[in-house]
Amino acid sequence: MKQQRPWWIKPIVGIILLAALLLAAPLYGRFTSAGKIGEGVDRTATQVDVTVDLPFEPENYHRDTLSDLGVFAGRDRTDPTKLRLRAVSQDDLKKIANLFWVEGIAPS
Amino acid sequence: MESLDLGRLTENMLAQHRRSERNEKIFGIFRALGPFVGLIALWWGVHAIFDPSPTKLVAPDKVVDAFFESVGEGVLPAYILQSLQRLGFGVIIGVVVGIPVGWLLGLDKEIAKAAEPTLRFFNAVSGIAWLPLLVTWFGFTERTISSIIIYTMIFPVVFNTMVGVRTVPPVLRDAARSMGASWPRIIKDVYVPGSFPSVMTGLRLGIGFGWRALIAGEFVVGGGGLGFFIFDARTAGVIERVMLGMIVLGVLWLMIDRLILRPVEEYTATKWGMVRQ
Amino acid sequence: MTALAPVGARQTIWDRVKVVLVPAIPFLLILAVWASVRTIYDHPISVLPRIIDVIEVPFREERYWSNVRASIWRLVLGFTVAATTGIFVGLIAGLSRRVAQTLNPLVTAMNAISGIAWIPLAIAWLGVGTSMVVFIIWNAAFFLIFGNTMLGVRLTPQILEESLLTLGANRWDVIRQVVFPGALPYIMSGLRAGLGFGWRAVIAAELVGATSGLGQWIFEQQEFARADNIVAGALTIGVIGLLMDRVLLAPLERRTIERWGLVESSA
Repeated sequence: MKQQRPWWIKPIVGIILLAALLLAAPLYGRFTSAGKIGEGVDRTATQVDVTVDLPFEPENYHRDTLSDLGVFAGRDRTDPTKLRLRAVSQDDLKKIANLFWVEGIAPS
Repeated sequence: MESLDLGRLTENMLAQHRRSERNEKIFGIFRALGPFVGLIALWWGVHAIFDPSPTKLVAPDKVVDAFFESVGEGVLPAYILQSLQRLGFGVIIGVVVGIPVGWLLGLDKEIAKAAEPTLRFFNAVSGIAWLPLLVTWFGFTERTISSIIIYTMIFPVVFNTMVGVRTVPPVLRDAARSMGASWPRIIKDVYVPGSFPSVMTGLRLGIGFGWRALIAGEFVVGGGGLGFFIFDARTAGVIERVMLGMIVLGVLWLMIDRLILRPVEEYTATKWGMVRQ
Repeated sequence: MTALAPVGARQTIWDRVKVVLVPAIPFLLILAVWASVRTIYDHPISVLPRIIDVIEVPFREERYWSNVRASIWRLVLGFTVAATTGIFVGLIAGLSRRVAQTLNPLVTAMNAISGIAWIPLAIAWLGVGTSMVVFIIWNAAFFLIFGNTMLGVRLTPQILEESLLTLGANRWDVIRQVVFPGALPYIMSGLRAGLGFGWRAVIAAELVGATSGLGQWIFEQQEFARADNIVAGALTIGVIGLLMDRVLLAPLERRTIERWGLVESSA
């Protein structure tokens, strides 16, 4: 006798897979966000200027995403994997730390 | 003489049966994957023999590298998220607007007949054809992409919902009436469930069309998303990302269609479906 | 209770008129809304053209006709190749259960990667222009036709094949007289779906990467903000798509399938 699987198995698996796909990156980012904000960064000022360090050279996507969180101020002169941002609010600072591909945030 | 232990016998038979079923399933998976392995081998072979320029064809392992790179750098997950968000928004609007409209249209026979050709016509003018007009109105923005998805999705949904309501056999309505049910009750207990299978079909078709329109819209308008990923990679000549994007596209659609949409549609058909001519 | 016409009543002129008039009502409503919005607002031609502007387009723009011709020609080319290759390969593949089972996942996968997603790759391989568009059309239609044909062959009852073989027919006769007619309903539905997807693929491919054709033309008109041309183009696309389905394939389907008495076609 072949046993029938309940009809909702596949849809539930599908929804779980999709949810995992969508939530993996943000959750992982939030999970690893502790300690990314360097010591020298001012946590009290309403706006700060920072240098964001990435473990690779940034692409358009990274520049665009960071531009939404601060005024894009160009690349770091010495290190091609770093980007500079001006006028980043404290909320946006946390959002940058929540991006899993950001390695560190330092004052600039 | 050994006595026949029927209990043991059946146990062994069942165990054997279960084992052979499991082996069948494992074989089945191999058989399903087989052609893909063959395809990848063919791909590798063609690349090795013809050695095309890297802006035209790239070996399979490069595509795997591109996968790890674009995931590790956060590019691919973010773009996938964007595309699915856009699709999800379109689905919500399509469901919230399309299904009630379809129900209303379907309740009256004359109105349904009157609406049908118009719906068919606008379905034939695919959303992609309206893309230039939407760009003229809304520019290269999010609104353009949302509009295309909603437009492309809504006609199959409305049409199939309408058909679903219309094909509920009148005998059921009459039976309910003869038992003294009021009109709201009839709608709730006869028409709504009876139209479910068709509504699900409409949703499945609509989401399929909407997904394709989404990708085309992202080609043209950009602003993130899987379509943009593929298009942009082609412009930059990075073919491994183009092929990666296409594969991701196919896998995502298979997940949505085979895991979620079709099983739900089949379930509604078996539970509420009517025998159709 | 709905009123019933007395049995045996003749169709009055009013009934005939109703059949044509009633479905037109939504279209007329749309035209009415369009006209009233225009009288209230008088937008420039870039935002909302006048109805008459749109109607004039086929008469006014000669590029309209050359582009329509270009698109249709590409569709004919791509679809013919797709249909012949799809039916041929589908018939042969379908004859063997092993082959059909092996190829099915591939067909599913190819159908899942929509034809539109192939456009960038096709541009990389074939550049911008007609050959790319034809390839996209072929790609979009082929897998549908191939898959449906294969399915149709597999679903033709084995016993018909075998009984013919026992009567001494050779393989070729069997294919011609049993397998092909048996698979015909599926082939026809594959052809109809393939044509629809193929036409949509033409427009998308031209929009993105061609130098002529209806799809490219409406996109170019966007740069000049000529909404009247765009609307005319979009409506033309819909009309051609509908016409091809209704005028070409539906009657063909009726004639082939009903002639073989296999399946009642739906209206």
